[in-house]
Amino acid sequence: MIQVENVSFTYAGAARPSLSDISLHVAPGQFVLLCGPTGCGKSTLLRMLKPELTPAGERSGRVLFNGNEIGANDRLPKIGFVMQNPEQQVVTDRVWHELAFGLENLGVPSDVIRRRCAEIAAYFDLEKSFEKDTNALSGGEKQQLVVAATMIMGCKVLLLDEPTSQLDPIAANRFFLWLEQLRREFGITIIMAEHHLEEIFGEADRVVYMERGRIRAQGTPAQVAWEMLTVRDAFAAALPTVTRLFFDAKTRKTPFVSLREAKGAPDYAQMVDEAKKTLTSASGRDAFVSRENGKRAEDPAVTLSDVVFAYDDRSPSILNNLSFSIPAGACTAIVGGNGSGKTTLLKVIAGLATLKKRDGKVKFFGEKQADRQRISFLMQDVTTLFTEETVYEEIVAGVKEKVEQGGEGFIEAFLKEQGFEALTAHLSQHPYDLSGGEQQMLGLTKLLLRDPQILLLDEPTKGMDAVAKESLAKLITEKTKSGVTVVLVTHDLDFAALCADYAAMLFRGEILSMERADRFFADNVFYTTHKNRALNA
Amino acid sequence: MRVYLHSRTWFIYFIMVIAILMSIRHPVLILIGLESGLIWWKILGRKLRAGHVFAALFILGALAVANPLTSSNGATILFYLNGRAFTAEALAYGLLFGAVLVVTLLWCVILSELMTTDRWLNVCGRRFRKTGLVLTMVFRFFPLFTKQWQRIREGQEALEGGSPVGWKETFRMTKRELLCMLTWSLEHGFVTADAMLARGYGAAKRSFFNRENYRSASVGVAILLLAAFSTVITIAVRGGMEAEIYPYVKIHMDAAIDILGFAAFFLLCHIPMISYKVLREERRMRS
Repeated sequence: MIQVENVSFTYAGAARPSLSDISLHVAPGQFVLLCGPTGCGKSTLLRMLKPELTPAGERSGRVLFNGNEIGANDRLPKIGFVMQNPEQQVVTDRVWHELAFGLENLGVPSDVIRRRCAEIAAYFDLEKSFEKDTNALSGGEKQQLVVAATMIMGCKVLLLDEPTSQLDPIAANRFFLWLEQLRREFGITIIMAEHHLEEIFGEADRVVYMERGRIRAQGTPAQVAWEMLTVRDAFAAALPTVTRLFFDAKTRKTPFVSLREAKGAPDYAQMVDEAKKTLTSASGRDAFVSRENGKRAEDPAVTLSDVVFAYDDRSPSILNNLSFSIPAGACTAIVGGNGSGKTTLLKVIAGLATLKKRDGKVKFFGEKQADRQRISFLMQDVTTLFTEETVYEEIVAGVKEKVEQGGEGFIEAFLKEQGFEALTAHLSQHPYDLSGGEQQMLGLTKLLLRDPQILLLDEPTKGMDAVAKESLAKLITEKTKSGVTVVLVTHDLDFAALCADYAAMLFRGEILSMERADRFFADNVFYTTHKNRALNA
Repeated sequence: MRVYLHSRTWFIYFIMVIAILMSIRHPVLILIGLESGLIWWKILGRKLRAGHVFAALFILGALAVANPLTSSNGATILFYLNGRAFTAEALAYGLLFGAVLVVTLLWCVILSELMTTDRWLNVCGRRFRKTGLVLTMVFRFFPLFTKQWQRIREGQEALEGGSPVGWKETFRMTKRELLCMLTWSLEHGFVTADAMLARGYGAAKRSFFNRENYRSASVGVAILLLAAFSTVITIAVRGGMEAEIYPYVKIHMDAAIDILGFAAFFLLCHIPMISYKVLREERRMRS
C-alpha cells in the first residue's frame, strides 16, 4: 500500500538530516507503530507520506502510494492525517459541519454529503452530538471527531501523529480501543507515531523503532522489544510494563507484549514470584517496595478545612467540604477521574484570583497568609507561561538578577543539575518549537529558578516520553528530599507511583482517602499501576 | 405542532422588525416591540436580571436628558439652562429615541441568539460559501480565544505570585498577555491550516452542504410576514401611525388605519413564535 524507498530529508536551513535512508513497506490493513525518543524523526517521516503537509526541505528517495510515486504537489485525500492537539484541528464550530467540512472541500454535492454524514454519525455514535457545539466536547471526543471527519472522506490510510499526547491516559485508552475497532471493521491501514506504548504495543502488526532519523529496528512487537531490551536501550523504559517485568534474556527469546499473553503462560505464577523478589531487593522507588522512610512532618505544608468552591452561583460546587492536609517535604499525588476537581483544588491552593470566592480555610505551615512568591504552579497548558522569543530569554525572564549573580554558564549548569540538559541545545529556539516534553521542562525550569517552597504540578508528564518521565520522577524525589513540598495531580498512575510519597483519591470534590502511595496502589483494584495489575494473579 | 422555519425566513424576519422599529418611531410600535422581544427572551431561556433593566433605564435616561441639552426645538419651554431653552418636546424626543435604541438592542440580542452559525451559513448559501466558512471559523475561534486568555492570565498570575498591583503593573501584564495571545493565535492558526489541508482544503471547488429545504410552513410564514411588513410600511408611507414631536407632541393612534398598522406589526412580531418548540429542542441538542 505504502512504500518508502531510501528516503532522506533535511529541513530547509538545517545542518543535519532529520531522516536518513528510510525504507519501509506497509501492506494494506496493517497497523504500524512508529516509536522512538522525542526528535527521532517520527513526525517528519509521517509528513513525508502526506504531500499536503510535507515541510520545506531537501528530500531524496521515493514514496509510493498504491504503486504510484507521490509528487510534492499531489493532493491525496485518501490518506488521512491526524495530529496531536484536537483543539487546534477542529475547524468549525458544530459537529455536523466538522464532518461535512472535508467533503465540502472535495466539492461533493449536498445530497451525498447528507447521506455520508448520516452514515458516519450512525457508525461513530455521533447522532446525539450531531448538533452540538464542538467546544462542548471533551478532548477525547474531539480527537474522535477529527478521526471521523477524516474517515468520512473515504480514506484508506490513516496517519496519526501522537494522537493521544494531549489526552489523559483513560481517554487515550478509550481512543486506542476505538481505533482498533475501526481497523478491524474497515481494514484501513494505520501508521501511528506514539510514545505511550503501554496499551498499544502488543496490538501493532509491526513496530518501527527510530532513533536520530534512522530506523534502528523493525519487526513484530516481540522482535523489537527483544532488540531494545537486550541492548539495554534507554528507551526500553517506554515498553509495556509486562514486557519489562517478565523479561529474562536467558530463558525466554520472545518477550510478552500484552498482559493477556503473560497471564496465559503456564509459568505465570512462578514469574510473578520471581518478579516480586527482584523488585523487593532492588533499591529505588517502586509501588511494591515498602518505603519505611515515609516521613510525616510535624507541620503540614498546606491545610485545607471545609473548602467549598463553585465557579458561579448557578453551577454545582466542584469542591465539597474538602478537608485534608498536605505533608511538608513530601510528594503527594492527587488522583481521580475527569471533573473530580483536581485542577480546581490546585488553583485554590495557588490562591488564583478567579477562585477567591470560596468558603473554608486554607493555611500554609499553620499561617493564614502564604508567601505566594514561593508557591509555584505548573499549569496543564504550559505554553501559558511563555511570553518571550527564545528559550534562553524565557528562562531568564523575571529572574534576571539571579542569573547575573550566577555568572557565565549559570543557566547551563542549572539545567544540568535539574536533569534538563536536553534544553541546552535549544536555547536559541522559540519556546513553541520545542516538543511537548521539552516545553514541560522549560516551564519547570522557570518555576524552579524561583526557588519554590511548594510546587504544584498539574499533569506534568503530558507529552513526555518514557526517558523524560523517569528523569522528572528523579527530580521530584530530589526536590522533596531538600524540603520542597510537591503536590502532583495526574492521571498517570505509573508515574505517581514512581515519585509520590502519599496518594490521595479525589472523588466528586472530596478527598476520600489519603494513604502512603505504596499501600494506596497495592490496595486498589482498578485505580492502580500497570505493575500491580501484572503482579496480581 | 412543530413548525420549522427556514434560516432565510428568520433572517428577513429580523431585518423587517428592526427596520420598522428604527424607521417608524412610534410609541405603540415600540411597546409592541418590547412586549414581543420580552416573550422571545423568555422562549430563548434567558433570564431577565436587574442589571438588564438598569442598563435599559440608563440609556433611556441619558438620551432623554442629552437631547434637550443639545436641541431647543419644541414650543413648551420648561426652564432655561445657560441661556438655552429646555423644552418638553425635546425631552419627549430623547425619550422616544432612547426607547427605540433599547428595544432595537433587545432585538439584536435575540437575533444573535437565534441566528446560530448554521443559520448564517444557510443565509450565505451556495453563493457566499466562503464567507460562511470564515464565519463558522470565527464563531469557533472566539470562545477558544477567551478561554486561552483566561488560562494565560492564571498562568502568569501563578508565576508572578499574585495579580498585578497598580495601573503600571496591570499595563505591563496586559501587554505581556497580549503578546502571549498573539503567539498562541499564530501557532493555533498554523496547526489549523495544516489540519484543513490534511482534509483536502483547496483540492477542488468547495461545495456547500445544504441541510435545509423550504418547507411549506416556512414559505407560508414568510409570505405572511412579508404581507404584514408591506402593510406596516404602506400605512407609514401614506402618513399613518405618525408621532409628531415638534413643535407640539401629537401622537396619532386612534384612526382605523393606525390600528390596522399596529395589528400588522403585532402579527409580524409574533407569528414566528409558533416555532418555539423546535427552537427549544435545538437548544437542548446543542449543549
